[in-house]
Amino acid sequence: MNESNALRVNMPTVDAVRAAAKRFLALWLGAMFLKTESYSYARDQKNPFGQALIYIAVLGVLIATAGILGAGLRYATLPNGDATKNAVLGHLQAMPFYESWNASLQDSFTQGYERTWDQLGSMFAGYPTTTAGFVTLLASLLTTPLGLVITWIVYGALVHLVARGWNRETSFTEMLGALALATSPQLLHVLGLFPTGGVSSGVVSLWALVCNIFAIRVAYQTTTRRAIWGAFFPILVVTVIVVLLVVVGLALLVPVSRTVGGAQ
Amino acid sequence: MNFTTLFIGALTLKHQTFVTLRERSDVFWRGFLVLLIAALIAGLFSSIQAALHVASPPQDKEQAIALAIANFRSSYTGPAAMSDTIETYISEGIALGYDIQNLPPRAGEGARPVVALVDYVGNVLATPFRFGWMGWTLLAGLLFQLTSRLFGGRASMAQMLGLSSLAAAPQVFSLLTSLLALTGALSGIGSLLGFVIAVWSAAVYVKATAVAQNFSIGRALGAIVVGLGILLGVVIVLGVIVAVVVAGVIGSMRG
Repeated sequence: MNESNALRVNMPTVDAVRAAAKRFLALWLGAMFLKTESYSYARDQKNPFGQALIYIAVLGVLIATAGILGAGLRYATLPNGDATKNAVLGHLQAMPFYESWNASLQDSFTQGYERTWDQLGSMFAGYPTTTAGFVTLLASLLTTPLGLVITWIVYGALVHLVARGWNRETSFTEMLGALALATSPQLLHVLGLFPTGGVSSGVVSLWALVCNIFAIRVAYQTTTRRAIWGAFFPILVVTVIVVLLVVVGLALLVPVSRTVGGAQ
Repeated sequence: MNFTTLFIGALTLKHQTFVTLRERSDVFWRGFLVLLIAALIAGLFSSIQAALHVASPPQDKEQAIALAIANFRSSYTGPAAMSDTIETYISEGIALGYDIQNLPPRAGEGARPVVALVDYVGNVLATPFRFGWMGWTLLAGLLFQLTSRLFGGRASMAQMLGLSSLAAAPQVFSLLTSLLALTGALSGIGSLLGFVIAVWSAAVYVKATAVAQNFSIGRALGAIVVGLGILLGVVIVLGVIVAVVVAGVIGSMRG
């Protein structure tokens, strides 16, 4: 083999891409509709972690691509952001509360409104209204798959913590292989491509929970009751941590607000 | 079993259809197809009104403001001095809504029909995945699967979700309520029709639970009632916790 041959990269053929897309779709449908064979297949791969990583990365890139295209579509089909901003401001300024203020208060209000619009305008507009927002949107091609992968590994580690005793033969990577398929409902977010479409996050979360229970049951070949406990354990841990953080935050906030209140 | 047989079997509560579906390996997928088609057909009609609204935004701003102010005057019992101020807020609020709706798309005024079409397609495609469709099927399926275990049920999750998806079949007739709402007539008949569809769906749901779990109708009803009781209890407990936390925070900030 000479040097030029060694460096040559063969482009995948159309048939190879089509076959890969077909395999992906079959696996996705199997995952969504709780087919035991799909979850067993993902668990029993030679390299379950690697295969699962690719599966989640593809999902993430598809979701992010739809998000970017959706933002473009919203940009074209929704009214100009500045026109919306000015229409809202014009009516706010015609309201009695604004007219009752002096000029300096009116100026502060207008400046505050402009600042808020700059920071939160993209939430109302549905597309980035600042350069930072645009960069964040493009970066979602990387951050969306990364977020899915981190969630998958952390969730999986917490599940394995309680579930490994149920079946010692199931390794962490085998469980992750099956659990990766439970990320499948996230792909429904591609419907967010349409400006008024979009899928309820609650529905996606519920579907993912059902898939997680099923994946844990298949991965550890255990009972549904244990699988439910395994699937809820990470949620319970995160909830406890969040509640503790909120309680600690409030405990710190209340004395501060009292001090500020006392000083005034 | 083809799709038409499955759909009609679900609508007519045909026992054999439910049993045949239960034994299939793709039970959840087949059940979901019934929900998907029913939701898409219902969505095709329920989304028309919103699309028409986008294509031709309302022009009668002054009329709407006058109507809102007349309604306010007929029901207002507060101090007379406040009346003018409140009326200004009402008229500005309504004018704001109208002005935003009337803003042209960035692509231009001529793009309104295209925007309406894109919105319409988005709404229709999203319908099956709204909480009222797939969301409720998943939540109720998971909950009643758990309570059915207490009653000795033995269905797999896929069987429970697949069969309970059939309860969406009668919802296909909600296209009639959408059409009635669109014409703006016969709202009483529309409500009655909505009630009939809801009862019909509930009957299919009970039948689906009974067949999936190999239960009698009475036992299926028991599992569902216990599940609904648990759901109600959870909602009440969460509500109380939120109320206590909010009251505590407000109290300590005041104190």
